[in-house]
Amino acid sequence: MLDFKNQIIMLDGGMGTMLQAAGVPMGKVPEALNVTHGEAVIDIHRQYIDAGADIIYANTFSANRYKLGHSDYSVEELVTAGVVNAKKAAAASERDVAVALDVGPIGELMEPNGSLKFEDAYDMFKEMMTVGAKAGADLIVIETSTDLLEMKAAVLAAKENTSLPVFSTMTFEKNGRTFTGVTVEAAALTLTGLGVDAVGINCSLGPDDIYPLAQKLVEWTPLPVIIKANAGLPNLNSGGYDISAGQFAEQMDKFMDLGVQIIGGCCGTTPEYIREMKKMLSRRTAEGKRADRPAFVRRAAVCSSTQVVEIDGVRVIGERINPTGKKLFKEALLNHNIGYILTQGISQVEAGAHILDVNVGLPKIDEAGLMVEVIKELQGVVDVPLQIDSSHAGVIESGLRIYNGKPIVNSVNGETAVMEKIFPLVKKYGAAVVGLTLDEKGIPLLAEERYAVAERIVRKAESYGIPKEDVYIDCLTLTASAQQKEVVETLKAMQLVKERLGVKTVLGVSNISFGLPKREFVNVAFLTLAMAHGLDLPIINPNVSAMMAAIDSFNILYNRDEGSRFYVDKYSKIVEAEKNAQSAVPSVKPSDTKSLEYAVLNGIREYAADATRELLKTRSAMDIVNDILIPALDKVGADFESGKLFLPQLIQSATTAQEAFDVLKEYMSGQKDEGTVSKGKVIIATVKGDIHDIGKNIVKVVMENYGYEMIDLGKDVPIEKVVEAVQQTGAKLVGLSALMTTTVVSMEETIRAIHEAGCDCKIWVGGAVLTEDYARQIGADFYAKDAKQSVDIAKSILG
Amino acid sequence: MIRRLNREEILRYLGYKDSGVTERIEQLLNRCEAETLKILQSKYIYRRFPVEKGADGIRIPGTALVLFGNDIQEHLKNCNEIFLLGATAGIELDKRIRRYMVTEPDVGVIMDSCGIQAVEQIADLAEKEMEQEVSAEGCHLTWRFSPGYGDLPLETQRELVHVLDTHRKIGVSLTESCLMVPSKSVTAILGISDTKRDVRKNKCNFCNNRERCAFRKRGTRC
Repeated sequence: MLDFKNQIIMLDGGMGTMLQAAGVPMGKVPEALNVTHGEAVIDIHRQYIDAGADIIYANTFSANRYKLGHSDYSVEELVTAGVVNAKKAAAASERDVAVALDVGPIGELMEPNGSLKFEDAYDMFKEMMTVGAKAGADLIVIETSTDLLEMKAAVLAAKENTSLPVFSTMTFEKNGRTFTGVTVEAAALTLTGLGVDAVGINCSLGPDDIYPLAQKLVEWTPLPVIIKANAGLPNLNSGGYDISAGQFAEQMDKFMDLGVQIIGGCCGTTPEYIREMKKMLSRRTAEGKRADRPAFVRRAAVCSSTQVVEIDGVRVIGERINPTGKKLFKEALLNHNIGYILTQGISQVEAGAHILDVNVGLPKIDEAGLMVEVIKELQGVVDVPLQIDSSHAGVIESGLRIYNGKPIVNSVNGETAVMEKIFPLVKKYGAAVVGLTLDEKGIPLLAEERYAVAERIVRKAESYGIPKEDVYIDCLTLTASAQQKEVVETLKAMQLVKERLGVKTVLGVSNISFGLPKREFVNVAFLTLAMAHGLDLPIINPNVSAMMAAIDSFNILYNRDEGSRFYVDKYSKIVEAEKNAQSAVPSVKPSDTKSLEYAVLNGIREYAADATRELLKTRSAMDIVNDILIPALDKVGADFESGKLFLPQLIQSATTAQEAFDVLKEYMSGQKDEGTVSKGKVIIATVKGDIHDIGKNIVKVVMENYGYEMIDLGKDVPIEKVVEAVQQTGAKLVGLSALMTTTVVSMEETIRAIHEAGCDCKIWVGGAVLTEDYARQIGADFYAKDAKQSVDIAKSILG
Repeated sequence: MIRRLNREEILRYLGYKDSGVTERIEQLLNRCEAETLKILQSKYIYRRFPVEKGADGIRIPGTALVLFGNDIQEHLKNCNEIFLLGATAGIELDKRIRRYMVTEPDVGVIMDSCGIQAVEQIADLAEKEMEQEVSAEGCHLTWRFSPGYGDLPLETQRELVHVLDTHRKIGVSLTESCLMVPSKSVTAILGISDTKRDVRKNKCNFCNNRERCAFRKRGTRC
């Protein structure tokens, strides 16, 4: 029924606009009219069909469980009635008219911005879509979305539960981003990858303002493109719009030259606008104007929802989120210390990583659960795309499902069984994939042999419909100290792969120097050689400045950094900063035993690590904690309480102490039996329903630096999860935070559940609306008005 | 366009009383203010409605919104019309604050206060426009009364954001427990009256949190 090749498909125009004009009573949900005023709805559909619409959108936009939550109707009733009304109108037409189930946003923001979970959004979409399909919709349109992850949940719900074609359109502002920051390019890449049938832009702007965005869109997707614009800009008070039907059609005319194939109207448009567009189309036909879309050139690119990374030069993949050989990272994973992992991610991005590899594999750990959590949290604080790194297909799929954007999967190899397991996932979720040039027989030694494996991988990927632009070949670094002869084979193989297959290449670099002293020298040399042989995606530690400098220099030498602009800008700033740092050295010397105290009292963070290392030469770690750090923090706490210092200063002192603790922890992890600086475990959480966690985070930072081992469960924490954590860790103290009266309710329930589970622990609470009395009323043992009081409570319980 | 933030207000949110602001803090404040202004995504929407006062609450005809409670009755006592307002500083600020709370929490709390100040100013901008509109008619506005003040239930938010269609128009939505996302957002009800602004009373009188308010204890207000 929907022939994209030879014709322009006409959609309908605004539904809300028409309902208001029809004078029907607008209640809480406009979809209720499907039941109460079915004839009026059918009449609007009929008008659009008469005007020339080939596809009409059923009146089901917001008929989801969340939005109907406070109404008297069920999703099934309103969606079914909506589709049935549209079908009645379509059946009465002589032309072939298709009925689309219209699916708008849930109306709540997804994690990490809001509290809506991916699975819950998926379920709500699934409900609408199965009902819509059953009622006889011909296709599903998901529209007006501003959140790419919510759109992804909807697309998956449509494709996994129905066999209907799926159109997806998102709503952008003039700056080319949605409210949540999604770019046109990221939407195009991600939705094309997810296998929708057509992709586009609707609502928010008039045609002229959408035009530059549509230009980008046709460049970034080979799919048919949909444009459903508003009738210009709205007058927020009158509810009217500023361009006429004739002007609208005139503005839409130039979209035809971009090869846009599916057009219609959104807010403020009426059947008149559709009729004018039909006239515009027949004028074009009469004038012999064709709608030829420019040839599509597929790009190698990955993205988050807010940032696209095109692999059209050397792009750095940060390798640090990986427990292999890292004691502190392993500990962080086992203790569920997500903050540590986030810090590793952020510092790599600040050092220039374009993409982050994420590997959380450890024996006896819930790798899939952790992968999901780390991806969610990382995407809440950094914009760069991620590479999902695991040897388990289940972990990879869990990550792929909730990833916001188009990620890389690390990895497949030449083994048929592996490819047959992983490629269907890569295809389904529209990811890129790393292919390692090894197979059942191991790593072939010669370049030609590795090339042969690469070729097999690329061909197999293509047989699954994965374009070669999305396959990145890893020719595998061998260790120079063990297989010196074959090092050069890696370089040769990479060159072959580049030249003959025309795919992008990726390589973990630092293995080359394993077992050698001063590894960095060898790593830099190998990286430079590899780039000269065609390496696109080095996997390195971007915090090693010599490695990044090698890349920056390469970009000058290969004429990629035009006029050395990037290089000059970056390194002249570094030179400047080094100069300033020298002149800004604090007046107290690191050899002074008082200096750590001074640093903590004044919150001079950059100074604490050196001072602590100096102290460790003469004093034990425990002495440093008890004689210097704690007394200094106590003084800061007292000054905060008396109003001499205020919040940022309290935190500065705490983070300064943190630097000292980090040095002590590292030192002690290298010692056999010096014990621990931990003063005991404390669980802390922002309760279910509450997403304001800044207060909880402040308390955490401050307490951590008194030596308490803080187990941070995060925000919006389910009651069971708190109970479970108390039982598993045996923590003797639990802190709960809630901001609003509405969420103090779940605080009370959490406390009750902890008591009912028979946990032997004390509970303290904090938050804007709590008081000492209120805290007792809901069953808490203590109330703390701030971080300082929280420390006092911990001291009284744990010492 | 907001060109600068109110430094005094930011310091007040941070709990600053009268001790000197150190040079270090001063530098941080400058940095945070500049960054906040750079990433701000100011958006607001307001709509004017007549109101119908009934025994059980104030109704907004044509919508399902009803304003319950004595405090809003008092607030709108001289008004036959109102504005509903929604304003936000945008989602990027939330992301930035989250990131700083991991890497530099001192910067994080200052950015948080900058965000609160910014959204107040955005609401001020909207209020100025509304003020202009009504002063041409010889009328005045009351101050911004928000759901959750006094005995106006926080749940009023649900219908308020629905009526303003904030999710679609300015990107503001609610969580299950009525928290606004982006977090630096405000909603408010402003009355339109033909008498001077004498109905404006100290807003602390309406606040549920007045007994335990950290600001009041320090002798200031929020």
